[in-house]
Order: sequence, then C-alpha cells, then structure tokens
Amino acid sequence: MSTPAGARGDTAGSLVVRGGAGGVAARTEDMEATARLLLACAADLAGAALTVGRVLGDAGLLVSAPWSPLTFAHAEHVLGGCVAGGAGPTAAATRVGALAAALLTTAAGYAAAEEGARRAAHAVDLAAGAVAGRLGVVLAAATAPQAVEAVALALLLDRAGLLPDGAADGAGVTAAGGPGLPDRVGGLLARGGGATEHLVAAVPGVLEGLLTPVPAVGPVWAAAAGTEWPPRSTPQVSALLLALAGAGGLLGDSARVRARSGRPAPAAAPAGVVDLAGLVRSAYPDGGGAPGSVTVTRLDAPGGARSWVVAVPGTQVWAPRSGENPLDVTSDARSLAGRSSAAEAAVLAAMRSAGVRSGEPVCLVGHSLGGMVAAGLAADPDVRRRYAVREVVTMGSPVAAYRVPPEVGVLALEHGDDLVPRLDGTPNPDRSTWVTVRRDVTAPGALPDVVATHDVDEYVRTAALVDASHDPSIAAARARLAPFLGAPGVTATAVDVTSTRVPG
Amino acid sequence: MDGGHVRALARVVGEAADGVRAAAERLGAARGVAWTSVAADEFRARLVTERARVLEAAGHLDAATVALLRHAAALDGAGR
Repeated sequence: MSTPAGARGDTAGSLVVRGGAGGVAARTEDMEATARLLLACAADLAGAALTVGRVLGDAGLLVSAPWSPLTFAHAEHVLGGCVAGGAGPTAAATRVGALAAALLTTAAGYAAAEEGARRAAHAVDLAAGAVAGRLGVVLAAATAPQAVEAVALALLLDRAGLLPDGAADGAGVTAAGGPGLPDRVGGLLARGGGATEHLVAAVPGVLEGLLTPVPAVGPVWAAAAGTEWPPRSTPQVSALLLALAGAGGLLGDSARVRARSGRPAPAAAPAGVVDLAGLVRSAYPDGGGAPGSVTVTRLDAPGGARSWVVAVPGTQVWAPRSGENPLDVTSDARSLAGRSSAAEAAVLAAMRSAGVRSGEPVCLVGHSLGGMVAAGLAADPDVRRRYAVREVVTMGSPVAAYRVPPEVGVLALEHGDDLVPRLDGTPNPDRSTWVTVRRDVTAPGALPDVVATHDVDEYVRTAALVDASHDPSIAAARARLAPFLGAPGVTATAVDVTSTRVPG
Repeated sequence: MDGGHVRALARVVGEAADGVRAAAERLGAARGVAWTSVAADEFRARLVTERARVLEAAGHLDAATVALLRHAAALDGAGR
C-alpha cells in the first residue's frame, strides 16, 4: 500500500492515517505553542533585567556608597554585569526572544509549504482539465462524422441480428461472466488512488475547456446556478449540474421534511467506533431502520449529564426525481454542492424530536450521504449556535470541502479503493482535530468492486480496526469520542425518527 | 545609615533570580515538543544550551543578591 504525503501507516499496517495529533498541522501547532511559551519566558527574563536595572540605579543604594565604598562597588559591579553582561538576564531575554521568532518563522514555513503544495496541485489539475476540455471539443468536431457512421452501422448490424447480445449497450456483466464496462471503469478509477482524486479535481477545468468555443454560456449558467464562472471546485461544478438538472425538472428539493418519532427504547451504549458505525448500519432499511429514518441515541451519565449520538445512513433512493425519502440522490447532489437538503432537514428534525437541548454534546455519525450531511451540519454556524456539535464521524463520505471548524473533531474513515470519498477531488485537511483513516479493502492486484468497497458493512470492519489501532492520532480521536461512548453507570436510550420530504 | 533599604533591594533581586529560574524550567518543558525533523533536533539542542545559560543568569542574580546583603551588613556595621 502506498502512503500519501503527510500520512503514515499504523502499527498494524492496514490503516493509513493522516492528520490528527500526529499530523503535520499538529506539529506546526506545537511549534507555535512552543514559540508562545518562549516569548513568555523572554518577557519574564526582560522583566528580571528591568528589575535589576532599577536596583542598580536606586537612589538609596547610591547614597549608601560613602559608608562602605568597597562593598558598594562590588554590589554595583555584580549588578552591572547582570544588566549589561552577556551572561545576564538581558542577554538571555534577547536570545530566547530570537529563538521564538525563529520557531514562528519555521512554523509559518511549514504551513505555507503545505498550503502551497496543495494550491499548486489544484492549479495543475484545473489547467490539465481545461486543456482536456478544449481537446475534447476539437476531437468531437473532428470525429463527429465517423462517430455518426459507426452508430448507424451498429444499428444496421443490430437490426440484421449480426451483433452479439449486450454488445450494443456495453453495460452489466459480459457473456463470459466478468465485470461489464462500467464496473471495469469504476474498478480502475477506484484502484487509481490519488490519481482519481486529481481526475475529479480536473473536472472544473474540463467544463471550462468544453465551453471555450461558446464563452457567453458559462457566466449565464453560473449566474443561474448561483455560483462562479469559471468553476474552481467540485461543489461549484455540482451547483452547475444541479441547475442543469433543475431545468429538466430533476433533483428539485424543498429541503423541508415531516418527521415522525418512534418510541424511545433502552439501548446498549456504544463501546467504540465500531459501535458508532453499527448504529448507522442499523439505521439502514436492511439493518432494521425504516426508510428515511435517523437514529438518535441519548447517553445519560450518573451525574445527570447527557450527550447524544445521531446516526445518519446514506443514500436509499437512486431516482433523480426527488420523492418522499429525504435520503436520496437529490440530497446527495445538493450536499455535494453545499446546498441545504431534505436529508439535512431530516437530521435536524430528528434531533429536535428526540429532545436534544442546546449545550448538550452531540456526535454526528454518517455513512456516505449521511457523512456529508453530518459534516455539512457541523460546518453550519446556525446549527452550531443551536446545538453543541462536538464530533463528526464519517464513513465513505466526500467531506474535504466542508468548512468544519477546528473545535469540532472529525474522524473520517475512507477506503482507498472506494470512489465515493474521492468525489470532492481534494484531500481532507491535515489538522490536529481532523483524522482521516484510509484502508484498502481490495487485495493487491485485484480490480476493486466499487459497490463492495463502499458498503457500510466494510466500513464497520474498518471501524473495528480503528478501535484496535495504537496510532497516536487515532488514539487522540478516540479520546475525544469518550463522552459519546459507554462507561460505568452510563445508560443509553435510542429513538428512530422517520422523515418524509415535503414536496417543493 | 542602616542596611534595611539595601536588604529590601536584595530581596527584590532574589525574587528576580527565582523568576529567571522558573523561566529556565519552562524552557526545559519546551524541549518536549512532539515534532520531529533535523531542524527540531537542532532546536532541542539549542534549548538545552539556552536553559543552562538562563540558569547561569539566575546564578549571577544570586551573586548580586549576596553582594547586596554583604553591603547591607557593612552599612549596619558602619552605623553602630
């Protein structure tokens, strides 16, 4: 398994960890904290030097000289050495202050290098995409006559019964029983690792390149979509595509739901990350949850303190026209575009219905769309004003673009061969409170199964490995999750809240 | 003239010496930074040296305190 920059393998070697307490950002944070400490030391040393200076020039001391000139001269000599000498506190304050400045400069350098590398990579992706888009226009124009001829010929041969079954659509499973073209392409993309992320990051550039021959279209399209032209990020592309779909009557969303709460029932308190993942697994219809339901678990500590775990499953309906179930592809598209969705409304309705009070710590856990919704809510200042969202755990979700503030901890589980978390085209942030754990599900050399690598059951297995890991970043993330896990005397009560979308 | 005022000055300098020693201890704690690189190793080595030099500065302040106390005693003797 290759280890990307800034990442490292855990002790078992099956997980690759980025960010968190052992990440690059944490190191620069350490440097800055140390520099602040050194500056405080320098200030104390300067204060001591000032004190000695005042004593040296004290009028009472000076007038005492005639009564004992020898002891006076000696005291003045030693005090003078403290103020002006190279071994005194004045010189020490200067040196320690300089050390702090050097440390701050180094920390700024680290941070700038990290950010610079990220920006440079993004710029290259966009430029490559723009070239590919322009090339696509030229190729399409050049090969259009041949393409028309080929399609006509295929249709004629098909009519004449001269084509083998399935050759015309090229999808599904081949006659030999192997994976069809879409599965093979998906598998290759999933195996592509970081390259696939760059491919996705190039999409905004491709779109810009494709529309180069008709420059007026882009700005008009962007204005209708409420975004910028040219697009520079996956959320902006998603917003453009959302506007296009909306014109065709697809992916429309009122972002409002009607919620119906089940009966609260005693439950087992989650004991680890694997149990948090298990709550999401159980919220899926095939895990026992009703379609469109979110499970809210309340933990009551012996002292009366309450904390909450909100488990949000992923996409359940794949039709591009929105229906009753808010956990559908419409919410997917809207979440990816950073827009409000019925799925978000369903989670908020579930929290309200379950009785989550302002100030009570909340941990949002989600798989796929559920993780995107969790990150989107944690990034929303209005939501954070209403609820104390402390932790977010995502599984197989593209969450890099969500601006989750540093005070909210994020534990993002991603399979290296799962395409879905790469849909944002950018790596997750490296910071002390954001840990990304990657695991390759597919055996080396094999073609990934794009459905199996995204499956929630596989993520539950990854969560079990996270619980067993000794990596310092993972250990710190687990420690942050402690208020949402069982402990002696803690009781748990769970409620399923099912939402239906209100038509727009 | 008695040495009372000079003794008070000696106390002030003695307290400054304690402050400098506390700063040296904090420098020692700063050595525990978690980051690792060649620069970090150099930095840690420099912190060790700097801590020793700050303790040396505290020693100079102690010497100044002693010198002031001696002067105070001499003033007491001269006044009798």
